[in-house]
Amino acid sequence: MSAQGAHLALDLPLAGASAPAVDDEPALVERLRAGDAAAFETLVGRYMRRAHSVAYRLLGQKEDAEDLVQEAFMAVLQRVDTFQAGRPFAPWFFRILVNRGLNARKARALRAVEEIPETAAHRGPTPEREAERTELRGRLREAMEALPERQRTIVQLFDLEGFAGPEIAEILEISDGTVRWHLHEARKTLKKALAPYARSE
Amino acid sequence: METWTEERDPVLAAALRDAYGDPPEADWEALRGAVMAEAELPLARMRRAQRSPWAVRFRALVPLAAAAGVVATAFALGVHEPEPRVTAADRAQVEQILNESLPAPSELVGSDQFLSAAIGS
Repeated sequence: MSAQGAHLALDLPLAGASAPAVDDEPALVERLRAGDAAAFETLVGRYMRRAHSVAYRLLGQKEDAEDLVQEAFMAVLQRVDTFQAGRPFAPWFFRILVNRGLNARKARALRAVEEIPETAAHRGPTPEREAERTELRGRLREAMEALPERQRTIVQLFDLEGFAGPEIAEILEISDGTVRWHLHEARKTLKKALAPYARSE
Repeated sequence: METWTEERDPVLAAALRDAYGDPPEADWEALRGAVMAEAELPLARMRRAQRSPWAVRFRALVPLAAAAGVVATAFALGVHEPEPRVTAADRAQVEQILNESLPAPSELVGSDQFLSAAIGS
């Protein structure tokens, strides 16, 4: 297992209560190639929550996210023969998930129009403050939706999901420098949208 | 890796989380069950392919090969069918039957029957 793969798995805040033992992944993938259901179930259990979280960020709906997770794991079975032995499993898996998620988003022309979660809407102490926060959320979401798709995906993976830059580069199959540039541009745009509210943050 | 960690913007991340909220909890056991149920068939195919890749690839040829084997066996048995053995007892029995059924030569001397019997034998 490469250091990069180990970092990825240990850096997963949503992966579960205990850090996944990624050292066993080359063996798990080998067993999976032979059709071992237990090995597959271990990988599913290990990455299911994180996958669901990323899928939800991409598609914005719980049911769509669940479908995407299922589809991504089925794609793993179909393509496991093309997986390069010795490479970390996680970036390969998340590449499949993100590519399919982006395709689904394009195909369905999804826009993030879901309601702001109630849990988030009850945080403000005063009605004025709450109104301002609601407006800020709306502005930020609009700004996110206006970003080029690649920039939006990078922000979602980096700022919302906690992936590291090199991990995103591997998932999206672009260079570190390109990820860095897109992130910089996206943040510039988002900060402009946030600027009127900066005093309250 | 470290530089990327340092570049994180907690204010922006917090604002984004506030705007989008946390992903909803799913029924993890149901999701795991659905994934595993859908995986059953592909996993079974992978196991079978692993066990006997030749048989899977050439599965269509198996009945043909079996039929060819049957034909070849039948042909081989036909070609090498052993000659029936005639024992001394068989010969003696045949001779006895012939002797009993044919009239003695002395009875036939001077008659047309002798000639007929000679031609018939």
